[in-house]
Amino acid sequence: MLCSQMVTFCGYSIPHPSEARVNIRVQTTGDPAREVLKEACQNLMLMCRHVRCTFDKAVEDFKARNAVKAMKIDSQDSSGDDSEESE
Amino acid sequence: MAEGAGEEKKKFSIWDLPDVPMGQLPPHLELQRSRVSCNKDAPIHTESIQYSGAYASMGIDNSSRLDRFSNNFRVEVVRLNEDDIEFDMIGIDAAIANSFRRILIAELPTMAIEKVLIANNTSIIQDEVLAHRLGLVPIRVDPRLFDYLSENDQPNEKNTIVFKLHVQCKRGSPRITVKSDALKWLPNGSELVKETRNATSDSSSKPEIYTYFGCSQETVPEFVKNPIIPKYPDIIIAKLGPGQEIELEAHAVKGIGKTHAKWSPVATAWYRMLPEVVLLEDIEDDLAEELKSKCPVNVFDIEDLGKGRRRATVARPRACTLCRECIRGDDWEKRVALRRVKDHFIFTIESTGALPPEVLFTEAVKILEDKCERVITELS
Repeated sequence: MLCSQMVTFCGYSIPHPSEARVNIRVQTTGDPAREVLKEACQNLMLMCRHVRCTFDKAVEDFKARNAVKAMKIDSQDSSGDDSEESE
Repeated sequence: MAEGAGEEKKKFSIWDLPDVPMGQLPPHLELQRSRVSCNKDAPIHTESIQYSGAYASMGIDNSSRLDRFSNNFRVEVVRLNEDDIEFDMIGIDAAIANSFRRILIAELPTMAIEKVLIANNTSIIQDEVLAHRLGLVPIRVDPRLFDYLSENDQPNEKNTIVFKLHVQCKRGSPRITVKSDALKWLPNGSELVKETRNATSDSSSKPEIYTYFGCSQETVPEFVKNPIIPKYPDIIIAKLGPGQEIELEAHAVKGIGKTHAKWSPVATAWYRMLPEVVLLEDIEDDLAEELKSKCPVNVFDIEDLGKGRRRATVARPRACTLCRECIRGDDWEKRVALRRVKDHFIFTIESTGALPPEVLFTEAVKILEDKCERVITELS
């Protein structure tokens, strides 16, 4: 929220750690603060979705790369054995 | 007059120089914004400069926009095993990385043993200690297939897993160690019967039982493929001497790490920022050898320049543990700069076995999204 251009002040405080309550204070340059807060939450949600997509893709790529490497090693081993046998 | 000249000089050097691109910070400010400098006594510039107007006087727009984030954000997986994962997240803010870490530790649900019904315990391990140890045993089951059990619900096949442990050490046989593979899964629910306080119990009254399983859990195809067992079969639960016996039933329910650490799905999850080791001046010959021997994790290497001269280079900055050995002693701070990149996080997640680590991270991100959604719906 701090990065949004409409916000002049933003902060939070937790009055007591035992009770689950957070006080958020938002001060904006004219726009309603509630909307700014909602927009910030929506941005955060979109960011999370993007993080998830990127992470899933990266894991898939890694697994594919490793599977290819494992296959290559297997084929190398088997071809090595063959050549040894032939010799 | 001097001031005017000074101002003109400043204007000239920042705005009018053709090779300084507009929209870029001068290098020392960029360093302050994107790197944590770790000095001998303490790190500086640790906070992330998030305020949108922070560099307004330089003409830089510091506000984070979603498209900029989407373009710059990258994930690279370094290592992926059955139980742990190490990956790099580049371009994300520290607050969000920390939220993921906290959610992984405290708010991802798992199944763990909560209620232990002890029918017979003549061992030297006390009842409550035995129950505590059973609660900490990780169970290999996907918690997403189960619901939470609240106080008003009845335990049924959708929210409870029942295990049975019946071990006996016969007289004359040596001491036995009770390991976690002695826990047997009961897919049909509890076998114990509640004690009725009614003195007048007629034969027609049905005995009350502890769980109300509508159908056997074995009918779920997921459990046919992977029966529910503790993840590690060799966890020592108790030790029995001759003549001692343990007979109990353990009920496992879904919970989160915030309530009790036994419900935390990660052994632990941590992140560190990418270390950046920079040699501020050329370090040659003897000094180079000294530098290389100082570092306990071999971050530095020597390269030959020919004619017998050697120079130190930074070979493995990622291995740096920030022990600061290389800047200890006189003058070394002028030669070596230890820094950390503020938006590059090396995440490591070690799973206890309920879910594979990459699934754990995806679930943690989903939980953060759910929380945002809840806030949004409450606000409107």
